[in-house]
Amino acid sequence: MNKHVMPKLTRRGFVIGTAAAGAGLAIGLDIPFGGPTVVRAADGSPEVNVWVVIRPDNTTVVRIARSEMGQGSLTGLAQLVAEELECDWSKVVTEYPTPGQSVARKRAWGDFSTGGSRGIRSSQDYVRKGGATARVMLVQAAANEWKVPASECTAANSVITHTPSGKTTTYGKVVEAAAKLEPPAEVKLKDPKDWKIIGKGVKRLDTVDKTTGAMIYGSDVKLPGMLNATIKDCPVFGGKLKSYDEAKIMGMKGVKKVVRVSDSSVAVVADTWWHAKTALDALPIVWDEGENAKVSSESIAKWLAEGLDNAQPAYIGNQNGDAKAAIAGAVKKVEAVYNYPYQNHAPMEPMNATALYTPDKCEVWCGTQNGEAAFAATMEASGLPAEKCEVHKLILGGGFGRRGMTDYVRQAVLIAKEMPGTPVKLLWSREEDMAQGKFHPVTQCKMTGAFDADNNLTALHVRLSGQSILYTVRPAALVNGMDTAAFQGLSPSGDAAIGYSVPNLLVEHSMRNPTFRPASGAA
Amino acid sequence: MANLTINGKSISVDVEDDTPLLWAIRENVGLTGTKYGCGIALCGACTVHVDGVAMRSCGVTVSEAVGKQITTIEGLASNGALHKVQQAWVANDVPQCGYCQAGMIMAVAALLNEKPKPTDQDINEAITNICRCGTFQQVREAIHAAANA
Ligand code: FES
Ligand code: FES
Repeated sequence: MNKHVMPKLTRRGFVIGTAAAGAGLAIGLDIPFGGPTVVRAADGSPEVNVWVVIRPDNTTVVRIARSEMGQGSLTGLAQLVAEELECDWSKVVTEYPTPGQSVARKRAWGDFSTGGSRGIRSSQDYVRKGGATARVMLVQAAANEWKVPASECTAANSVITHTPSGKTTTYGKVVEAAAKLEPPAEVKLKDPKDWKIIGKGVKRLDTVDKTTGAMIYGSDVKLPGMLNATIKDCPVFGGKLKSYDEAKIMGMKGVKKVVRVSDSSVAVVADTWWHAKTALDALPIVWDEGENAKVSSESIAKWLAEGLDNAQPAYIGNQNGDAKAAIAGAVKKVEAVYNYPYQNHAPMEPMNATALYTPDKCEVWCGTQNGEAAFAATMEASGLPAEKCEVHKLILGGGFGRRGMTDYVRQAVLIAKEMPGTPVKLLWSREEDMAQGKFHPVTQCKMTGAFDADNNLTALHVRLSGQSILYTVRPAALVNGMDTAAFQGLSPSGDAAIGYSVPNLLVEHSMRNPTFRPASGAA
Repeated sequence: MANLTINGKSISVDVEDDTPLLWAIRENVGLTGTKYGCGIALCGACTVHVDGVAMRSCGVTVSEAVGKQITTIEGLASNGALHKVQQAWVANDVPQCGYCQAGMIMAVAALLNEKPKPTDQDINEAITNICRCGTFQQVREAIHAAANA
């Protein structure tokens, strides 16, 4: 049965390579290959390359670097590899490589980030090459064994056939030999018209486990001796933790420790999460809410409205003709202001991460949209170098951009660091999730249209005022302190082009970045 | 200490009487298919059957559950065969992230016990579970498919 293999929940976690990767391996970012040194999966089966492991029983394990959070990219990416590999789709299983292994193997799996509908788009080319390369090597291994030219052999459904003689063998039988071959420098990808798996409505690989309760999400992780934690960060962004009275709760059932996690957050660690949550709710906490305590929906709306004033600086995202002049001289003008509120991502599964820290090693188990960012957060919070850190990814109970952030990973590591040798699972309450959202940006838009005597639209001015996602997630990409990327659907060309032609058009964005709330990607 | 009957097995759990059944199931019994989404009986992710009735286990205390037959998602299949609701879910590829689906399936299984052929109106009234991914249309189609199976 198709199955997504979960990281093993043991202290050592899930180790792919024994014949350690790195030294002696020629791994490139674009088409990473196992090369002549055979790298083995945890069960001993050889990697043909980093994307493909084949077991003796012909099960094909496809490695998936991107995250699955409901959109089906896990299945889609496996389809891409399987198509080129010509393997038996009914025997495909998937597994996540870890960011730590990727780093150790010179980023063998490339980018792990999953968001903005890019998971498949931006990796389809190299994962297909991974499948095709593996197929060529498997066929070559069979040809070598039969002492015939590879060009006389074909592959389908994990079976290799020597056409002239009718001899057959399977991927499982030749994989050991294939894994020792030099990968071909060039491979030809299939013509899309010949696709049998890509783009076809196959069943998702992970559905059954999602209907039986067997699927393990981050919040379901169990480790031997694990404790449970929950946290409160200052409910006003930018505020601080002034004091708390831990004596009041230390006697409560199951409570093990109260941890000041940062200058704005405190966590309770207990035997069960319910005990941790009950105790944290009972903990007297004094916050210094700071300047932002004065911010209200009214003050935010007023401040955004100021950005609608044409005198304020704005970045022009799209223009043709002279919209301002056309509007000034128009027979008829229509103007309307629209508001788009803050939206919390609120994935169904509240934020969580489990961490196990010792001075020698820090391991994290979590759902994340960005494995490498979670890995970097683990390094930073633990203070340990890359080779002593690892992140084991689990399926996400929803992402929507929120799990591209790593605040919860950092918190889990900081808590675990206070209890070396004890795994700690940090799970936010829903209340904390609502309080600590990295909201999708609040925006206002003033639309001004000009019409001629026959009511034809002659000019359109779209004046946006709002928060910038870029400002929070990639400040270096701002141009003169302005957001150039806020124009999806209004751009002059490309995927995000405006769908109408208007004789005089002006689309501009006045960035109004509040200090009271960082933003994150699409909700 | 309380004695619970979960999926036909008698299990004693060492918890305070007012512990929500959800957390006893997840943490003390170790069955993690039942999910936490809100903790205040709003989302339905934690739905289980208590004496055959769909209940949000975060809003039921352990002491209220003593002496009752509790069924969780792990106990819905019988004799190795998925329940017809689970089968319809698989056939219709309902889940997206899947996190809400255990609760969704438990709520639907209870509905079909009571109303074997629910109308859209019945579904609107009975199935109020939240799915953040937005699988509501697939859920509705799969409910009708299960009803007609
Ligand atoms: S967790 Fe029980 S209804 Fe949401
Ligand atoms: S499938 Fe993701 S919340 Fe319902």
